[in-house]
Amino acid sequence: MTERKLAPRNLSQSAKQMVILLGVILLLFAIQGIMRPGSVTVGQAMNISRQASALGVVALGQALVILGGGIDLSVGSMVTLTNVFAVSIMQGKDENILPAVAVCLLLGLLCGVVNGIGVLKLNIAPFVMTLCTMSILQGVYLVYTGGSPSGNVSPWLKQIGNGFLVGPIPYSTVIWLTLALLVWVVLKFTPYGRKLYAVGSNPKAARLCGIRVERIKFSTYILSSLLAVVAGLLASGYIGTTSLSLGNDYINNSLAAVLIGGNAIEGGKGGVWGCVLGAFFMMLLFALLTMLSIGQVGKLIVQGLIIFGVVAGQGVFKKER
Amino acid sequence: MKLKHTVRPQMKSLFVIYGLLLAVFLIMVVISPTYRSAENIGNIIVQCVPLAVVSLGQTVVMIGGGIDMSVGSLISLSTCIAAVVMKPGTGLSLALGILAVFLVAGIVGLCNGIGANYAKVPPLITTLSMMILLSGVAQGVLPVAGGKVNAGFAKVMMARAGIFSMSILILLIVYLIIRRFMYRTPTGVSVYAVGNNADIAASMGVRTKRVSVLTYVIAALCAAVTGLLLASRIRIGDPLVGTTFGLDSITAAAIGGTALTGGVGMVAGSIAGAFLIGMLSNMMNILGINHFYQYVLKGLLLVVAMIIYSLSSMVEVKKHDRA
Repeated sequence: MTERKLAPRNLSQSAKQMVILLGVILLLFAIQGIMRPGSVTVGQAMNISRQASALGVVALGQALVILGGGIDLSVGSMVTLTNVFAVSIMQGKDENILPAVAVCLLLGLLCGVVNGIGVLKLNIAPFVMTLCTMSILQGVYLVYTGGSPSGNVSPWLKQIGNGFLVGPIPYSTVIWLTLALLVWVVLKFTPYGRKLYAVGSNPKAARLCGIRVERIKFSTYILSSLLAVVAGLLASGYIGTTSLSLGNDYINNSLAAVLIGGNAIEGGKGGVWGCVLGAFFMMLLFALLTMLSIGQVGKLIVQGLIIFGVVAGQGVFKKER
Repeated sequence: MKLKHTVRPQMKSLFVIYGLLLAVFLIMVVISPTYRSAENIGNIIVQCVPLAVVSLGQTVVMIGGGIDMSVGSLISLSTCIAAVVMKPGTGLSLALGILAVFLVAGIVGLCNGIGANYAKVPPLITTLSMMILLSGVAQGVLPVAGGKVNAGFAKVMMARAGIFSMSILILLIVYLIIRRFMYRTPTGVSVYAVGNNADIAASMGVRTKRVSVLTYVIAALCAAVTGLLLASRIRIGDPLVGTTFGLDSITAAAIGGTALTGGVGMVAGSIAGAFLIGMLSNMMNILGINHFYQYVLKGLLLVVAMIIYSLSSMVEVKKHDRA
């Protein structure tokens, strides 16, 4: 019974915030249409979704961790680490893709396990633990590359990062949305999803209900790291090369995408589609500001104001309920 | 009024963190002769103080249940403003520069506080937006590192004699002010109340929103002090110099025993946290460890420190349960 009561309330709250976010996205498209007539096309929207896919996948993982009441700051370094290792193992050849992906997923698993152990077995605050992992991963890829990464992305992965499945629909968008759908199904229709919400909103109550709180939380860190690996592969495919600064913006942007999507930082509240829209919104905003050729200064200022404004707007609407 | 009971349960974790700091220090003193020179100890202090000062402010915000990601950008912006306004080198420009830095910081803190409390935007998002915005403004003030900080001012700020320095004096002053505020004034105690449970605090007659806004202003002013310290050290303004201070200050506070959930924390702990972070990198530099490996070691050492720390608090909890 309580389950039934819980679900719709969570949904309607985040649904409302999603509608607002959707409105803002449409507004951004409208502004773009007015400033640069004829530039708003399906192709362009798809292009943005392609750019947003890596961030979107990272945000999915971040959303899971935040739902469970934690936070994962190591995702950005994980993206770069994936890029560096994948590219150096691939050496531009398709036949090396399987070992590259396998190694990266293993590294992701390891990172997730380390985070999980630190946070849950050793009782280190998630913020500090994942920050430590971030620093360790940074060190690992710097030591591994000696500061100058080399290698090439294989044609197949390049195709995944840049190519189109059918018509204007990019592979990476499809992968992103498929993963989102998967996570949504898991959250919505499996006991695991229910438990995750319970753990996030009240760990003590969840424990008393017989939920293995630690296990659930542990799993979110692993999933987050693995999703960061997938994002790292997508981003590598997109840029087609290797870069030590690839993952730099992912921490802040994934947090922003998740929170704009209506997820609460305290955990237990939110969903998948809000954070999908959040990631798309972030990329659309970046693209729009670049397109309008405002300088770096204006770009950053407007970006800050708009992110704040959107969430403030959502708060105003929440009050009216 | 008896306020001591809000403090006491945490005294032990404070001992642990300072014990840890002392242990790291003693190990280094034994290992390395360079390390035990007064010169190096003075260096460590000067290097650690900027982070310690901003961590003090961060602690106040965190105890009040918030978080301030924007301090890093604000530090950068402060160095830029100081370097640009002080460029002529006159006494008037110096006064104006210091004034401008604190004025801007005050406004930023006020905006953060208002955004997080009155606009109902989560503190993380408010201050993250502010961080992005301020890094834009900093690059607007100084696109690349430049300008010039008043030479006399920089000299005074960086003045040193053996292990004593202006930096540690500034840290001491900021610490004493914040300590007094947090533990000896009603507003400071209500910061704890707000962080613990804002609804209950409000029903007890605390003006929760005002208190919370004040914490953000304090954090911003601390960031301004750090900005001035850094500007005096590098003698120019740099729009990127503060980048790592946001996360590092939160880490320092967390290491020092401040909970990210609010309501719990001690001001003195954050100083130890900041010094631990700073001492670890100084230690690795002295040992001549490759810069790249330093990232790995810094992470590992922090984890080890936190393990020792959490183990001791686990023991604490068990004792508490038994009692």
